Amino acid sequence: MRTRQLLLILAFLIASSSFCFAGEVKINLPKHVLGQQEISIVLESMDAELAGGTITITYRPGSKVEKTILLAAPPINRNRKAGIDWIPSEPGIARIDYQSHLKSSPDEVIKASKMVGILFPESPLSGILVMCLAAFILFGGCFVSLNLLIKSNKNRQ
Amino acid sequence: MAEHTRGNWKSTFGFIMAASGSAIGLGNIVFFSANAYKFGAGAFYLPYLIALILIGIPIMILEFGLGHNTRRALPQSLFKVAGKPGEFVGWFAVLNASFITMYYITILGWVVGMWFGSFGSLFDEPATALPAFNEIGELPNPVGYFFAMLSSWFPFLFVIFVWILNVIIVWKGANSIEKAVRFIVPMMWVMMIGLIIRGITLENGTEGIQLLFTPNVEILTNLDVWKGAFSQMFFTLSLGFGIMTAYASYLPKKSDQVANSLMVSFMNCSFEFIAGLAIFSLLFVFVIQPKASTLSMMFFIVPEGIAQFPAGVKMFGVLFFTLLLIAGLSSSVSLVEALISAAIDKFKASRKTTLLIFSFFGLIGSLSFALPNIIDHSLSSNGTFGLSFLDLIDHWAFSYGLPLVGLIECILIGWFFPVAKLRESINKTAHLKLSPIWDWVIKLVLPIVLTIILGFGISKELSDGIYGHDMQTGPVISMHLIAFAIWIGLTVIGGIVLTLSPTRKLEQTEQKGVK
Repeated sequence: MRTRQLLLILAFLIASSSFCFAGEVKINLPKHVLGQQEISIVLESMDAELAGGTITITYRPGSKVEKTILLAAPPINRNRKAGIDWIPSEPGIARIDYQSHLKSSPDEVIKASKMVGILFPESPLSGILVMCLAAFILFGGCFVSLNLLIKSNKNRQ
Repeated sequence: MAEHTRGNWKSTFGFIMAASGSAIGLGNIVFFSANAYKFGAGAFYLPYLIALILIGIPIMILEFGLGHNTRRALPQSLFKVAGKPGEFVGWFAVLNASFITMYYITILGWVVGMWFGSFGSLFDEPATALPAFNEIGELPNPVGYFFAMLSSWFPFLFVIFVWILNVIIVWKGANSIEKAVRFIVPMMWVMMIGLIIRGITLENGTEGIQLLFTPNVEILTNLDVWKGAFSQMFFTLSLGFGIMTAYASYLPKKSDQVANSLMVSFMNCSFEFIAGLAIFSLLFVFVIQPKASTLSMMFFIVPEGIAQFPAGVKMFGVLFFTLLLIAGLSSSVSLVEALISAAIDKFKASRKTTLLIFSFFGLIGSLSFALPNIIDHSLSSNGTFGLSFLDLIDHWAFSYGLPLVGLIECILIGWFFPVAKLRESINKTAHLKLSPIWDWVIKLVLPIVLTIILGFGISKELSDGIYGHDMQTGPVISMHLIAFAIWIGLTVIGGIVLTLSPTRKLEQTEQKGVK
């Protein structure tokens, strides 16, 4: 059942909402983006002058195949936007974390997060193969055992 | 005497429905998807399928064969195999399963609460105020709704309701269970298919399926993935509870245990396969990260996805919680049946009296897991006393109790009982004959795998500290140690007491006959 860390989910829920405001910045990006194609992550400052910061992209967060990459985010002026180019390399779910600080107060850290779904650029052959193989073994197994059961029931009668 | 006569399944179909209904539970619907995500999606299928063939099906055949041959529940079956030490292992398994039954029914009580919530404010936008958790204030739904419910006394009513349902279904043993599962299990499949259709018809829904199956093969070198798959297989097939032995003891003498085991194992895993389709499509469409915890998947993650449906939110919410309730119910009745059939076999007591006595104590146990007393106001751990207690007991009963029973079962039957004799007996009525390889799987492969699984857990416990040592439990000092003491005390001391209690005369005569 494993309930431990049940509550860590709260942090996740906040991170996974469509647009997360944390302090004065907003990450603008569609919910789903196409893999292997360059897109722009748009950061929008709300009433704050932000120093240059970082964007951490975590592919498949929380899994054993989690991968992270780091991008540099430029300074953003008050009520302005800044775009950072990114090529989503791994299809699946990814988390984008932005971190910077106020120009006027370097101690005040500004953070924002957003979850994004990265679409497969084309249907993966390996995925289709695994699906077919697993379905064949599992449902085929059901079919074979059903046959065996029918035969043994006939024998019993 | 009629009171003590063992019932029989009316048909193979009824038995298959009951056994697969037992195996298909809450974990199949959500936990498999969480594990698949965690362990590299498509790549997880390789260790998963190997685990099915290597440990799932062989232990299933063992437990079915044992029950069918001895026509007894687990403690008395193991007594016939290994005398009093065997019986002790059987009672340990049954008492360990009692803990699981109690908190499983509490969780089903919460499912009922969420089901009612689906008609009300569960999916509503405004956050729910949580006056009990004064350091939190409020939380967005459905998390807020869940903790508001947990910190109230309402779950007591729901838990009582679920116990009543269990008593009704188990009242006449195999007969009444068969009637219920003939309706429940097909309904589960239909509802799951409904969720798949909804999931894949949403925009980008099929992408979620591609995500589920596309393998990331580099993960296969990670030992954690293999351990995850083997543990998943052991738990998903309800092995080590004594359920399959009890259920198989009601089968007609000439039934085919190999075919039955294959059917139940493949049906269970096929259900997980289709559940993965539904859950992954939902998670990808709404870009939600799965968590490897059954409770958070059930109560937060999937409802979070349902809340974002463009239409029919309440309807799909009700459908999802109904699915959880019936899947959980078909498993909980099998747990209750495994326990009371063991007591009936030992003491030759009346089924109804045994059931009522067990249900009374079971209800008290379940209610203790639903206690709403707040011991962690900041929600940095589990919040309430009930959930914290559940978390701790679950850790010991599930992660250690079940594999330990499986390990000792294999050692007893593999090394202290001529396993070849059991194989020959199974083969007499089997269409597909077991080869001697099966003997070595039971004797060697399974004990090694289960020892590794247990060893992993123990080494983690030793390096990171005993589970729960860092949990916020407020005024309850050393709750993790208390929970461990309760679990080990009741299973071991209870097991010794029950083993040493005299078995009814009729039983002793029968044992002589078998020996």
